[in-house]
Amino acid sequence: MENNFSRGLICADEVKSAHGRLELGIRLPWYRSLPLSVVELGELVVDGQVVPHQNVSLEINGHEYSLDQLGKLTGEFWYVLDSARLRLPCVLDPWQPHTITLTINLYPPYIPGLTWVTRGSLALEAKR
Amino acid sequence: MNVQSTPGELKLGTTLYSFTAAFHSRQASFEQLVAKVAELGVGPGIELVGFQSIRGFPVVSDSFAGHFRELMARYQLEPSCLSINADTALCRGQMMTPEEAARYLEPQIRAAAKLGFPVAKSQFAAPAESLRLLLPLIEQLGIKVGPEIHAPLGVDSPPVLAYRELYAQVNSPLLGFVPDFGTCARTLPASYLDTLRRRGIEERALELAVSIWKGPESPQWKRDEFNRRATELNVEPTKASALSVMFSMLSPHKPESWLEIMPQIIHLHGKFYDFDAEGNESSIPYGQILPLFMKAGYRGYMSSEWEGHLYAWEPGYEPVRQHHALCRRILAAM
Repeated sequence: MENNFSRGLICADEVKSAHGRLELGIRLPWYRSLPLSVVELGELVVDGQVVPHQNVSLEINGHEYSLDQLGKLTGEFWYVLDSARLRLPCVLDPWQPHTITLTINLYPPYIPGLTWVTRGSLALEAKR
Repeated sequence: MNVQSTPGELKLGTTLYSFTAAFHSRQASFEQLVAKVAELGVGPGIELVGFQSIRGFPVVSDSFAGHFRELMARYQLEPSCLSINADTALCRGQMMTPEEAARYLEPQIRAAAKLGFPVAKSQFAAPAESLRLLLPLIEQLGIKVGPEIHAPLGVDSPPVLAYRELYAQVNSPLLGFVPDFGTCARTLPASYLDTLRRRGIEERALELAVSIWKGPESPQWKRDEFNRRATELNVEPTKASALSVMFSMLSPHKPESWLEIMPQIIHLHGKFYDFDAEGNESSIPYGQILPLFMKAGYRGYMSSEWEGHLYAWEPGYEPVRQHHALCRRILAAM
């Protein structure tokens, strides 16, 4: 099921391909800034294929992290207005349409026990 | 009717959290939202969520503090309450000790004082003991601090009782509570139930959740009972989880229950979702709540807090304006 952050999760105007990687601007699906220690990347799917988390990175505040580092980053806050850069080892053919689906799990640190799951998709049209 | 009572004594205001959708989607900046409060006439009180409105929070630069004070003066608004966060589960699977929680809250309380807020609203995720440790700082700054009593909690819930016990021991006028009126709902907002239907929740699952929500049992019992019966009915797990949000969003406590802790109330959260054709909040009885607080002598702020953005991703300007019109009408009739 969608929530209100689903639609804006992947920023449509912040998708780039560079150096053999796909870069996505993504938003924090919560109303306030959170430390990266409570942010967990869930399933990443590009054109129906699950993308393994190895070699996927997240850049925030000018620092690039591998996904398995996030859980320890209690002091690195993702400000609520900032896009983070998610980099995936994927090359997309611009002449074909693509669909990217991302799931983010948040563990709001003042609501122990809550897992907030947001799934958002972005459809990219083929270049003409 | 006593026509001489002055309605201005319970002061109204707005929390910028009401405008979360406009802010998060980058349609309106912090400065534009402050200007909007003045334009809509929904001040004079301004409440902020520190970790939402202020980049780098809990660090507040001198330049931001100066800018904030200048904005308040320009629009004739008053800082009412800074919402701070007790992020005690910062390390997943591990809770902070009272000492660690106090150290985490300290810079946020200092930030509230630096910005001129008379109240910092904290959360029950910090154990009561952490406020005992912070009391010397709180007294030095002369700021009021206390957790928000949000649904499903009420005045007799165990975490609230733990704080009440501490307050009875330390007896400081600076420690208190911030009730949220989502605790006094008679029913669930129609707009919320309609959204759940549109998102594919079956009527039988919805009816089950609402009927359990209305009962007098404890929140934990309700959630467990709902989960047990939803499983029996084969409600799909993501839908069951979406429905169980309602048990912590609103709860059906009696407004009179607040009388028990009235002297310790330091700020109010005027939670609301939508309105009926007469302009009354469709699930929260403001016509009962506001006179109760006025007659009991409450003289602080109430921030209008629209939370419809949980399910309706709209700026929130019009609902906040309507909520102020409703509250002014009720206060003027006293």
